[in-house]
Amino acid sequence: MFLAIGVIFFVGAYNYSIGSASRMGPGYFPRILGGVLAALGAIIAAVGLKNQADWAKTEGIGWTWKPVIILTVAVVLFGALLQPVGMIASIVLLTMISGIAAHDKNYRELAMITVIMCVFCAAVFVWGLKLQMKLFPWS
Amino acid sequence: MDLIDNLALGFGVALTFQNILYALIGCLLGTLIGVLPGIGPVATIAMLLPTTYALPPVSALIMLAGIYYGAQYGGSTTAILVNLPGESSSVVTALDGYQMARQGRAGAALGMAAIGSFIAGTFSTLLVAAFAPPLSEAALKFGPADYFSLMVLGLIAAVVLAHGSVLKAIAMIVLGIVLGLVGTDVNSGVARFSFDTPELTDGIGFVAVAMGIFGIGEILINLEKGEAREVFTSKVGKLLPTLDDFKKSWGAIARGTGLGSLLGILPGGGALLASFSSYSLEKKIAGPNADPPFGKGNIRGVAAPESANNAGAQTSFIPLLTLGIPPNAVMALMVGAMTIHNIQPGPQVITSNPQLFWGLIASMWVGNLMLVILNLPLIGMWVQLLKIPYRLLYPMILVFCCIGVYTVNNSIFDVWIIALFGVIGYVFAKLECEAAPLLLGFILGPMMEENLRRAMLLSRGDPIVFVQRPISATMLALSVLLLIVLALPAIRKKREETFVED
Repeated sequence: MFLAIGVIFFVGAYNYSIGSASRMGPGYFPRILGGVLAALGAIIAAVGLKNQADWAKTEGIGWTWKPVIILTVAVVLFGALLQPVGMIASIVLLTMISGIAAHDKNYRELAMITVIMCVFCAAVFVWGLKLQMKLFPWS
Repeated sequence: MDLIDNLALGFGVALTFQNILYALIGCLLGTLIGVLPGIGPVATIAMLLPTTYALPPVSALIMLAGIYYGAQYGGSTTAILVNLPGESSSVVTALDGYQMARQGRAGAALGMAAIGSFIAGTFSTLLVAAFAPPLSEAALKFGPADYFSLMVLGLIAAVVLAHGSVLKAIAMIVLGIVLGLVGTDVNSGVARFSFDTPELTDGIGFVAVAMGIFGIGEILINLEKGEAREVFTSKVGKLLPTLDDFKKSWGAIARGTGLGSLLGILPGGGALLASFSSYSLEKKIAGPNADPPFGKGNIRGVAAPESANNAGAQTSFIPLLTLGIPPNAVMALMVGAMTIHNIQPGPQVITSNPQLFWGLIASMWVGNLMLVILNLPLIGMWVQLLKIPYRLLYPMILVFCCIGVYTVNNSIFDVWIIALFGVIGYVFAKLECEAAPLLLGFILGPMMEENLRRAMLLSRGDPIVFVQRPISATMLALSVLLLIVLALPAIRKKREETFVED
């Protein structure tokens, strides 16, 4: 994986003039680092392949993607909705969606937390710190 | 008598009503997150960075510093009472502290941890006050080449601190540096790696990266683990340790303080390394015939690491305040905090902002005093807080992360960045790559590039400068030495042991 990222940056840096060592262009530093990263990635991958038995074991620990997906969706939605519909609605959605990810769901508690968070955030961020955020779609 | 004058100035700043208040808030918050497992000082400071906008810079830094050392303190409470270290630096405290609690001596352990921390805090505050000015004078003589080498040393040292594979840690650092390079090139104004996205020309927001990895990434890891928390609420017992306890632990406190202070100053050091090493040291000194044996409730096993992590937390401000180079992830965030307030961290802070500098140092002592006075009576309350289930906690953290990051730049894009880095943080944790080095590389990357370019410009492209200048050469030699040491099989085994310890 590091290998891939390293190569991307290495190649990406081709777009920028490298310049000479005395007057480095914007591409000089990223180019070197991309190379280093790719090399390290190759070594790590090689070591990983050699110990494939180990690797299979770590794989066994399992990747639980469900919470990852739920939380990512929740946060992305929050970002998308904050400006059009305001803070309150966004927070409600964020806590509600993210709450699904818990092992031991308890919807009554979740609703409680949502209300508390809304009031708290409105009080602290909007009224207390006077940050530029609208609370409701119509405000 | 400069020292006293300076401290007087500092206390003048720290003891204003407003700053005492913010130190108090910082300490309380720090203790709170220290008590709660699953949320650390890095994530908290990242979340609170935006709220410090409204404060004067001194108060902001005082509060954030309070969070850091408050967390060290809170972590010990849960380590002792529940055998569940709230912070990674309290892991070793749990070994003996919990045993003491089971023997009904939780109070003595807590009291000793508090007293040890306070002594260590006092000593290291004095140390910072005494050593920072001469160091920052020395730092003014540093050229770009020296800075570059110093940063290399700092990053290599960060590898020592990272768990697991050395190779992976180095790769994480390089990745961090590369990510730090995204955005407009300072020298030429060319936008790099921005993929034609206007938001990326300003670079990836540091707060967003920190929050994504340490806030959301952590939540994901914790959600996966599920809940396994048992609260051990027996009687806390008498808080004051007996005279015998004092006799046993004063040596441990002194050694822990000394070792912790030293390790805090080193680049890559900080509270975590300090507590681990001082526990090992104490165990070695006591020998196998310690009574009671280590791991079975020896009070020295509580006193030493607790003193050490507090000392380390404070002295790690020295490289930040004098050189402008953060030795660990929390200090990297402090750099962020200072830049938000238009303060360029580095040797000039002490002369250009003496009030901020000395105020911050004095506030550390004030904060430590507050922690002792406030927290001993409040321990019961903190334990109650442990009963809050994680399913209620994490949506709150999530909301704070999202709103916090949005308010830094009023940018929706940053919210998406934390979502992305949350996933990245999760994947890295799964691959056993530690994220702290990445963050450090991210902060230091642009600084390194600038200094490298400047150095090369001055030398007309001759890389020999790095070896010719004595300071730079020493730093590089040290880095190489560290790398070699790391590669040695014997040391490698030892290092693994320290981190897996018992």
